[in-house]
Amino acid sequence: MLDDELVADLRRIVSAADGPPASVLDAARAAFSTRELDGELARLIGDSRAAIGFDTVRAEPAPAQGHWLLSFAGGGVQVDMEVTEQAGRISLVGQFIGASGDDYVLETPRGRRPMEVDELGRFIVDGLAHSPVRLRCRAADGAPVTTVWVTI
Amino acid sequence: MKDDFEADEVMARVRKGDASAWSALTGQYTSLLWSIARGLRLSEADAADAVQTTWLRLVEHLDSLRDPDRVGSWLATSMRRECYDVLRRGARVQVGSPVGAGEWAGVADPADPLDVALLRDERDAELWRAVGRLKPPCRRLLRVLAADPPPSYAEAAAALQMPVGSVGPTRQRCLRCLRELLDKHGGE
Repeated sequence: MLDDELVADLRRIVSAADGPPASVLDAARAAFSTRELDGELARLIGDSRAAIGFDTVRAEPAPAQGHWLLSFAGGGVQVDMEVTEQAGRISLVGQFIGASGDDYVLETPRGRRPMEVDELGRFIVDGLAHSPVRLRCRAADGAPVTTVWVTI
Repeated sequence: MKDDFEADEVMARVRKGDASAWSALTGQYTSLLWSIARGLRLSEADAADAVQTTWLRLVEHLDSLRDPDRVGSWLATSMRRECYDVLRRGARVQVGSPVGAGEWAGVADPADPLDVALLRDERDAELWRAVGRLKPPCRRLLRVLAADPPPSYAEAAAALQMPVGSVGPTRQRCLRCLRELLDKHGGE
């Protein structure tokens, strides 16, 4: 059998046995609705699991202890948060620095929900499922700022 | 390899907000992204998350992408990194019950993700099992090349982090290994 025929056979078999599920294709199509045409992106500047940014302060917590720190910065705003998991539910505890107003939103590909943030910019969000998430707020001048997506 | 898919033309329409162009883009590359994750033995749940995150990242970077005609390679690279992130973070060990109906439970696949039960033809099933017995680099390469529609060699190279010039020779070598496995186990 020729190489090309063998690869063609593989393609047919892979499609039958382990092609992308319909839900994955649907989610891919739906991702377009998350496009932001205005505002600034707050990029990941620290990720304790990927050893970005936190090297000097990292106390080598075991991953199983669930210390996962993330920092984002952009558009004049910084967001620091810790991600913890308990019994399959995920919590975010963190703080917006440099944001203004009361327009704070947590977004997943499934939808958006307003966040409660205190006067110091601190927040707690409980009961999340594993999913990509991002946070939205407004900078001091009112311009929208959105963090990059991160899969929690 | 791609008959009617022009990445730069599709990307120009996507940037203008054309949802049907976006659909065409996802139809073109979702199978490739899935095959990258599954070739690395991510569980279905983790693979689904990683594919979705990769598409979300592309939406994020739509307007800053430097070479829109090479969006396939960008996606493949981004997906590979996302998968390595997932692997580095470790399998999400779920102690309790799954999160809930309709939610993905992020459990790593215990062993072989290849579902032979779905293949009625015995020869197909044998081929599938042989893929599962390949060494990881060959398994990954053949999974990627078997995506539907097939990736270009440049896209496959980005998916596998290898020079474009190595894809052809490595493909040849891996197919030879696959045939040897088929001969060995087929004759038993």
